[in-house]
Amino acid sequence: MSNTPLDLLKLNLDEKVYVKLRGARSMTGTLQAFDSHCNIVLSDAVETVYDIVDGEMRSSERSSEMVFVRGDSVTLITTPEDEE
Amino acid sequence: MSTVADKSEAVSASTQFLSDIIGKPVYVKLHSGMLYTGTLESIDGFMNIALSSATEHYENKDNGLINTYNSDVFLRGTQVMYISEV
Amino acid sequence: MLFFSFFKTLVDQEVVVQLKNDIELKGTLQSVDQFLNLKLDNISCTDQEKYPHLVSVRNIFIRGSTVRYVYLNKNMVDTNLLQDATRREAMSERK
Repeated sequence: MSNTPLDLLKLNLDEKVYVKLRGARSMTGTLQAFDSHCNIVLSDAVETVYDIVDGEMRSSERSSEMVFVRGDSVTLITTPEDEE
Repeated sequence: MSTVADKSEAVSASTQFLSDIIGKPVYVKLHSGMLYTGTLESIDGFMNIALSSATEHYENKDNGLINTYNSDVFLRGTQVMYISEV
Repeated sequence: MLFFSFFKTLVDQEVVVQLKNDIELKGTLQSVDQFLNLKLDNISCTDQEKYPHLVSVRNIFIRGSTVRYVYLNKNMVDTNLLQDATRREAMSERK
């Protein structure tokens, strides 16, 4: 039993995670499933999209009770800072 | 420990490097330009990476600190441009 | 294989698919394959103002690689089963 990075991710199952995505997006939610491509399923998820309007940084949020995220959008997964 | 090397007897220089730097402080640059510094907890043959005590900067360390992560950070291998020992 | 099996359990359910070009489609999941290509039936565009060119389309085949998100309802998913399946899934398929 080796502890590859993906094996370590299993410790986050059923826990809140913060996922950084391509295109200035991020999502937090409870990790329900993932595979080696980083396809993931989150429950009680909140997506944040950042964009710049007139040189000012804006963000918008969207909630969903269950969402599948395709792995090719994922860049980083960790525990949200306020959950420790 | 040797998560990268354990399957192959003839260890190539790159897999040797990856197993040698486990536990050491490293830089990881992603295609997005984000630069992560932290202690390398684990790495696999796809360049998936787990860092502890990671910090996040854009492009280089002299640019302002964007984030510090208190728990392990998982970086997806396909997004990794390079990993280097600090 | 985990998510192929997962999507097979969602066949005949209504899902919302957001593509990487921001188009969003609601429809009944008709079938799925190993690449997570999706066939949706009876689709409607959730934002018809923005993307009017799809209003006449009823049935669509979506290439899996163009998908960003698939929104689901909680009651479609057995989360305990999903977590256990993830724990069982071999993570490092190294040759």
